[in-house]
Amino acid sequence: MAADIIIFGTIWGAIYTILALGFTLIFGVARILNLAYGAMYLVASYLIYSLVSGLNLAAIPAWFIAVAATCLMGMALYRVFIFPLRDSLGRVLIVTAGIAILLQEVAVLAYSTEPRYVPTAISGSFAIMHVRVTYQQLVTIVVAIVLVFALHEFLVRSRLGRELRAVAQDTEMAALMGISVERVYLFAMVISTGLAAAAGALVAPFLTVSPDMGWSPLLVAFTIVVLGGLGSLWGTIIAAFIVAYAEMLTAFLISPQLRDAVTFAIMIATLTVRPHGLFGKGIVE
Amino acid sequence: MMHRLARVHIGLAVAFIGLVLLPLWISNPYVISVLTLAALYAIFASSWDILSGYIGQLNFGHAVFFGVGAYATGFLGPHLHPLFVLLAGGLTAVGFAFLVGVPCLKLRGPYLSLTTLVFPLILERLAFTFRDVTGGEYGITVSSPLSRIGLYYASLALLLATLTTLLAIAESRIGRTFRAIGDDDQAAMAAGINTTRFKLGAFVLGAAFAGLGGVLYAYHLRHVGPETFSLFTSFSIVIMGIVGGMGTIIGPAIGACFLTLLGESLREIETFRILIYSAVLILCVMLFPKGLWGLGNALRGFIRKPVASGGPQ
Amino acid sequence: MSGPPTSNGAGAPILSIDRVTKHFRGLTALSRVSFEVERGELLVVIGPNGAGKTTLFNVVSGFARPDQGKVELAGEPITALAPHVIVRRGLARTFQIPRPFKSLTVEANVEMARTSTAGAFSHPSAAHKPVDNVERVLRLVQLWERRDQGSDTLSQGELKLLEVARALATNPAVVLLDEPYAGLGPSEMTNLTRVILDLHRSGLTLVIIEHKLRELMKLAQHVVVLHYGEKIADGSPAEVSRDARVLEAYMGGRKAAEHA
Repeated sequence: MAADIIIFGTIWGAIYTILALGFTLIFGVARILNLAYGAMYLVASYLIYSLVSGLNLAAIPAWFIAVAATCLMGMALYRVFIFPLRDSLGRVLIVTAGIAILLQEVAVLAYSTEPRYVPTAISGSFAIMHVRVTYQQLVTIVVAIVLVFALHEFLVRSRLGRELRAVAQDTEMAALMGISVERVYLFAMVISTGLAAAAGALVAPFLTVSPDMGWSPLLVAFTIVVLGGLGSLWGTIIAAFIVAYAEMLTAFLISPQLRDAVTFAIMIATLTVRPHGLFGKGIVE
Repeated sequence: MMHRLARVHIGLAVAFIGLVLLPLWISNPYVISVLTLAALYAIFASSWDILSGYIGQLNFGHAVFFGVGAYATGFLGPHLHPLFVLLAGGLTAVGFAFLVGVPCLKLRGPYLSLTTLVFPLILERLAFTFRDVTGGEYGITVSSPLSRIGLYYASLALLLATLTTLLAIAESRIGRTFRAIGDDDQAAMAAGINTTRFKLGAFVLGAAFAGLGGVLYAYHLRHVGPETFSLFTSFSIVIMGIVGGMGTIIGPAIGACFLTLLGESLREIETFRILIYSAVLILCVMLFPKGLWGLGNALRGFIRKPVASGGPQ
Repeated sequence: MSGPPTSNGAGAPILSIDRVTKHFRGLTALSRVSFEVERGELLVVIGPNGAGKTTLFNVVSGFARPDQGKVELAGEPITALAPHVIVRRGLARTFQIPRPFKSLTVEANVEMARTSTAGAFSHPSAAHKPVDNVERVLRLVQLWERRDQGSDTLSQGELKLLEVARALATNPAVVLLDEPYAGLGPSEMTNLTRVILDLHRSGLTLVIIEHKLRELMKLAQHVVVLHYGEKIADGSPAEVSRDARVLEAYMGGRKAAEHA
C-alpha cells in the first residue's frame, strides 16, 4: 500500500502540476477565474474516449486531436462569452459556471452518466521495488514532465512567453510598452485550455470518464495555486505534490470518498490561516 | 406617487392572499406540492441574496445552510417536536454561518466564491463516507408532521416571514451598510463600519432563513440525502438569484418561483431541464444582468434608483 | 501666518508617529519614520512617488500593520487597531483614488459614516443627529444639492469632495487627506482649498499628502519630507525648502551645489 501511495501520488502530482499551471496562466495573467476550466478537462477526456473507443484511433494522434479540438473550443468560449464580460469579474464567474454546467449536461445527454473506460494505449508493466508500475503510468509522468519543461522554456525564452509574463506582472505597463494585451489574454486562454485538455486526455486511460469529473480538477488547481502561489513554478510543483500525496494518503488510509474533501479542507485552511500561501506569493493581497 | 416600497409590500400582500386562498379552488396535490417547492426555493434564493446581492459575498455554496437544516431534521425528526426541530435546524445553520463566514472575511471576489463552493462539497463527501450515521447515498427517510396542505401553509408562512424581514433590513440603514460593504469594503472600514460584524451578520441572516427552510424542505421531500449538498443544488440557487435579479430580495424569490415552475412544466423533458437552466443562466448573465425583476422595473419605466437614505421617494 | 491660536507645543501632540517601519514584499516602504503633529496643525507630507507616503497613511489609519514602531492618537496607542476602531477614536482618512459606494446616493454615502465623539469639527448634536451631520458636511463641500443623485454620476473632482465629506462625517479630530488635489480642475482646486481652509480654521488637525506644493505650502505650518521610506526633513515650510537633503532629493545634486 505504501508503494501505491507513492506511485499514485507521483502520477497525480504530475497531473496536478499541469492543471495548476494552466490555471495559474489564465488567472495570473488575465485575472479571470474560469470556472469552466474543469470542463475543458472533461471535454478532452470524452473526446479521447470517443476517438479511441468509437473511431478506433491510435492513442497518440487521438491525444493530439483531443487537445487541439479542446483548445479551439476554449478559444471560442473565451471570445464569445468571457471577452465581452471581462470588466465584471462576478459575471465572468457566473457565465463560466453556466458553461461548465452546460457542458456537463451535454456529456450526460451524449454519453449518459455511466462512467466510460478508455482503453490503455500501452499495455504491460514492470516492477520497481516489488511495485507494479504500468507503462501507461510511466508515460503519463514523462509526458507531464515534458509539458512542464516545455511550458517553462516557452515562458522564459519565447517572445510571446515574455509578453505573457509582462502582462501578468503589470498590465498597464505592458500595454504602454506596446504589447497587445488582448492577444496575450487569448493566448493565455489557449495554453491554459491546452494544459487542462492535456491533463484530461492523459488521465482518461486510467481513470473512468464521467460527466461530473470536471469539478475536482478545477478546485484542486485552485487549491494548489492558493497553496503554492501564483506564478511561481516551483511553488506550484511543490504544492501540487503536497496535495497529491495528501489525497493519496487519505484515499488509501481513510476512505477514497474523502479524497477531494481533504483538498477542499486544505484550501479553506490555507485561505484562513496562511492566505499568502506557503511561500508568501499567494493570492490574497 | 406611492412610495416604491409600499407598492412592493402591497403586491406581496396581494400575492400572498391569493396563495393562501388558492387551495379553496385547486386541491390537486401535485399543484400544491409544486407551489410548496417553489416557496421553499424562494426562501433559499432570497436568503442567498442578502449575502450575494447586498454584502457582495457571491455565494456558490448556499446549499450548505439548508442542507444542514435538512439533515438536522433527518437526525432529530424522530426524537423531537417539530418546533424544536425547526429551532435546531435554524441554529445548526447559524453555526455553519460562522464556520463559513469566518474564513470568508478576508476574501474577495473569486476566492470568496470558490471557498463558499467547497463547503457543501465537503459535507457531501462526509455524508457519503459516514453512511452509518447519514445513510450514505440513500440518505435518511423523514416523516412529515404536517399534511401536504399543512406544509404548504407552513412554507408560505416562512416565506412571508423571510421576505418581510429581509426586505425591512434591506431598506434600512443596515441594508445600505450591507450595500456599502459590497461596493467597497475597505472604504466601508474607512467610514468607521465594523465590516466583520456586518459580514458575519449577513451570513447569519442568510443561513438562518435557509436553515429553517431546509427543515421544511426535508419534510416536503420526506427524505434528506447528499444530493442536497451537491453543486447543482447550489448553482440552482445562484441561477434563480441571477435570473430573478440580484440585490433586490424579491427578484430572487421571483426567479425561484419562475424556474421551479418552469422546471416542473418541463418534466416531460426532464433530461433537458438542467441544460435549459444553464442556457437560461448564460443568456441572462450576458443579456439581462438585472434579471427578471430589473426587466420588470425597466418596463414599468421604473429605472432602479440608487439607494437613498430614508424618506419617501 | 494666521490660523487658530495653537498652544505652541505646550500641549501633547494629537498624533505621534514613533519609529514606524514597514517592509513590503522585500522592499522597505517605511524606515523608522518619526514625527509629531500638534493639535490644530496643518501638516503636509511630501516626497517623490514611492517614498512611502500612502503606506504611512495606511499604517496610521489601521489598514497596514507596521513591522516596528508605534502610533499614538491623543496619547492613546492605536498601532495595529482595526481601521473602523481608529475611525471611532477620531482619525479619518481619504484615499488617493476616491472610493465611493457606487450603489448609494451622495447623501447615503455620507450617511454611512459612523461618528466618533472625538471631533474638533464637532457640532454639538453631531453624534446624536446623523441627518444634520450629513447635511452640514455636504453643504460644506457644496454637494448638498446633489444629495439624491447616484454617486456614480459625480465627476472625479466631486468624488474627491465626497470622499472628504464622508471622512468629515465621522466627526474626526484628525483627518488624513491623500493627494486631495490630484486630478482636479482649477475651479475644483479653489473649492478644495476653501474647504481645507475652513476646516483648518475650525481647529481640525489636517495631515495632507500632496505633490502640488505651491497650493499647500502657503497654508502649511509643518512639513515632513519622505524619501525612499525615510524622513529626511521635518519643520516649517521655509526650513524644509532650504534643507539640502530635500533639494537633492527633488532637484538633484547640481542645484544643491548652486545654493551652497
